[in-house]
Amino acid sequence: MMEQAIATYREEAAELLAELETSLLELEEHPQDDDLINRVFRAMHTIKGSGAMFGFDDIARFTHEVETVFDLVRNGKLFVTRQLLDLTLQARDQISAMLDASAGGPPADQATGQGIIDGLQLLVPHSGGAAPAEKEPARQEQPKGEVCQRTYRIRFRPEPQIMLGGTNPITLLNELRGLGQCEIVTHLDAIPLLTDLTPEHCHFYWDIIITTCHDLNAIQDVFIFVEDDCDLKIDLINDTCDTTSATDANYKNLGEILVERGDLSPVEMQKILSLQKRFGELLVAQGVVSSSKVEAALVEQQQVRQARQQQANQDTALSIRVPAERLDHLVNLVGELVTVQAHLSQIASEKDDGDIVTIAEIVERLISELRDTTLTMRMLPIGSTFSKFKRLVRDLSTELGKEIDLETSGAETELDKTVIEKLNDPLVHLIRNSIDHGIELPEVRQAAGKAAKGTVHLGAEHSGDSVLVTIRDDGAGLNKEAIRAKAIERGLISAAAELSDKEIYNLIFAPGFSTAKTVTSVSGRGVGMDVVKKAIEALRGTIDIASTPGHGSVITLKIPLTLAIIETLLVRIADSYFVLPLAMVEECVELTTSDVAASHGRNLAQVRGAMIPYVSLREQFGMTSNQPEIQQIVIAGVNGMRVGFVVDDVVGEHQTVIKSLGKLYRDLQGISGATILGDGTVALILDPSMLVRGVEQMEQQRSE
Amino acid sequence: MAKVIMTADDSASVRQMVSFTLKQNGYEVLEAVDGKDALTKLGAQKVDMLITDLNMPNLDGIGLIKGVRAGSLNKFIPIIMLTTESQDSRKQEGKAAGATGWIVKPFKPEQLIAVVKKVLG
Amino acid sequence: MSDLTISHTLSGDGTLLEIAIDGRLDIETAPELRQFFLTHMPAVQKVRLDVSNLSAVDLAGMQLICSACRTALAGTISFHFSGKLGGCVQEAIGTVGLQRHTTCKHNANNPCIWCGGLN
Repeated sequence: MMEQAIATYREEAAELLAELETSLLELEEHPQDDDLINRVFRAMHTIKGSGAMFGFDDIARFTHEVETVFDLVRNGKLFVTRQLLDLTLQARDQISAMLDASAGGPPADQATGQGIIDGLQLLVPHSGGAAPAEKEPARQEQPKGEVCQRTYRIRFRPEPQIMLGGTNPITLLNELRGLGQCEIVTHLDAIPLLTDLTPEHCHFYWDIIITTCHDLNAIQDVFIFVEDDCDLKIDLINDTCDTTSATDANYKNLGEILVERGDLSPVEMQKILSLQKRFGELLVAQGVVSSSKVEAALVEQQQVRQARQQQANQDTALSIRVPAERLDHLVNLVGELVTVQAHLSQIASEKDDGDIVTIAEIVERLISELRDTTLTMRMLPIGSTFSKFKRLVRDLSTELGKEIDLETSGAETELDKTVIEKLNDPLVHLIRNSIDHGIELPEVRQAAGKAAKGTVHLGAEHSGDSVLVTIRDDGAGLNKEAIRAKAIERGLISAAAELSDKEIYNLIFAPGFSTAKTVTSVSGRGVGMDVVKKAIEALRGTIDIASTPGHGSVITLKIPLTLAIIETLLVRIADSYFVLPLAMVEECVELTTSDVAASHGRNLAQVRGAMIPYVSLREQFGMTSNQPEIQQIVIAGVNGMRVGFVVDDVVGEHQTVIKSLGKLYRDLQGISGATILGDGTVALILDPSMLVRGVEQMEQQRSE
Repeated sequence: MAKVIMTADDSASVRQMVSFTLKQNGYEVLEAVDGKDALTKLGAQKVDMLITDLNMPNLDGIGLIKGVRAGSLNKFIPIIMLTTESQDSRKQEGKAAGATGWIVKPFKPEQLIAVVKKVLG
Repeated sequence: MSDLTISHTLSGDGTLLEIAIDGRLDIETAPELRQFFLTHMPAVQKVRLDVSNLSAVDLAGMQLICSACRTALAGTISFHFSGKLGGCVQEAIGTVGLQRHTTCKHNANNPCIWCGGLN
């Protein structure tokens, strides 16, 4: 490309030289013609300017001398004489020779060139020295090797008219943000009432505290185009390289900062100080300084203190890479520690010794902090997964002839690394489903009065100790009748079954279910949703569907933040302990033998008017010991349904470090792992949704 | 949507270089051969920025800048003028006419892009 | 052609002015909105402004609404926002540097109702 531009330059220069010649000859006849003088000047100016751009430095240098002389002519300081025209024509020939030389011709005679320049210099009345060197914009200062962090205080108050000249102050602020850590306080006190406001003027002004490794030049460069159009004050307020400045993390107090900035006079400061209250509040209350000015000063104080603090820990790198296994090992150790701590707490409470209780409490607090810190180390933002789906949506929608936008939100939401990895496949399935079954073809959408382009929205947000991942589309929504008909055809439900919307929607999670009229390459093989559900349950998550016909559907995945340690409810049956994930537990109620007798073996409990089905874990696990007179029902939300689990006793909340069971127990239904209690007892972790499914299957077999 | 930048220069080689550099960096480019051409085109099309030479036939850069600021469609756009080191007074004149900033010739493609980013944000 | 649409309704008793602005509120269109406020605001007791449909807002736009808000408060006209702050407004609060602007002296040092609501 540059070669092409250089070739263009050669042609252009040849044309300009021809024009220059004509103009000079005409000028000889009309020496006063300003238009001709301008043409000569412009021709030379272009030859020079463009020449320098494309590496013709000698031509640029030479032409510059000639141009300088003609600039004087243009400004009426020098008159066109025969001598001047002679020299200029010679200069034209010299430039032409230089141009030929660059194209491989014989080299131009330098002596001739110098002779022309000397001759021209003689014509100039009193030639001054070379133009003073100027600052260039856009010259990026390279950060030096040393990691000096300097903090500057900048007061940037643009002239009101600044935006009329095409300057957007926001871009300047953004440029500063790019140079280092910026705290920006905007002052609004100069914004007038509407009657006095010129909307195109800028009445904002800013206090900026920036900590950067760049030097003052770099900061001044940001404002280079506007230095005449603004009040700009830049002060170095902290330099971590300057060993003479205070190295302790203390910094000036608020009053000193405001006085230094000129926002407050020393006399006023003393007056306020004598009142002995919080200085900043007093200033504002007394109306001496506006609250935004105080805010700005506080920001400075904070940022410098921070910078000094950082300096103190300078050798500590900002981040380090650690192999994932080492982190996993750490999490395991913390898990062991949580178990031991539970034991310690238990012994402490049994011994009833004040000293031990105190120590146990401190250890408990420390370990819980250690646990949280350790777990967050494995956290990654879910966004990396999101970005992969953009491509998926693009490709699939093109393949299906649909127009679809993928929107995402909450990409910064953090989840355990392992969870994110395991979430990928289910999300692919769900997004495929939305694209394939959810979003209609553009014609269909338009006929329904919707925009031709559909939207799939993928979002993540925190909700307690879980993360909610939602896949929302604005497509047709789920077709209840079609799902119902298909379920009947597949023998999943009886034709007479009365089901709520939610129950119907949940049918799509049944194995081998597919309602698409045509089987496409995208989905419709009927292996999707049950696989998704299994994968989500393996993550201890839940899946929920909502749908509005004609407006689309929302699938919500609720995923626990981490897989390693969970909050649970500890329960007991005879002398065995079990835990249930606390997130699923809704309430506990009593179940007496008379209640059982009253329900005539239907396993239904009446809780505040609602009939709740329950599973007797004692029966389920074949435990033969005598059941107590009063049992407890733990009611949990399973697949949007309330189901009770009958146990002997509810012990209380328990922090559970999850231990997986060996391969031997892989196919165990209803148990997802084990944990060790404080006294060393093993408790099994119950999986409520698997338990419910197991019971449903047994019921079905029995009825067949 | 790609931002549209107009380059106004009577030198085809400079136009070519500016235009190529901008396009490579994802901008759309509109070319004008002198001030008058530029002003006519800017009266009809909204652009995001103008890069103009100062010395041009028909209507020079200063006249162009004044014309754009007095117009309506592109009244508030950033305008960068191309100057040479000998033209400090012209730089002042350009600023007074309403230029946002300047680039000193000769310049390298990366300098051009740095200035474009600086004023376009 | 203007890229800003200003629609409004006046309550039956003429005390409440509801305004919805749509499109781009920037240095080019801000004068129109200023003129609208100047014409319609003095006659009412309450103003409710819906900015949720703005597609872009710049410094001049942020400034204009701030000015309108303090003008209303100075004239003891109640000034409120309805709808949510769109993404572009939230972004502008960030780029102009208004996140820290929590209280407003025109509003008796209560939180700024324009951009302090986020804090």
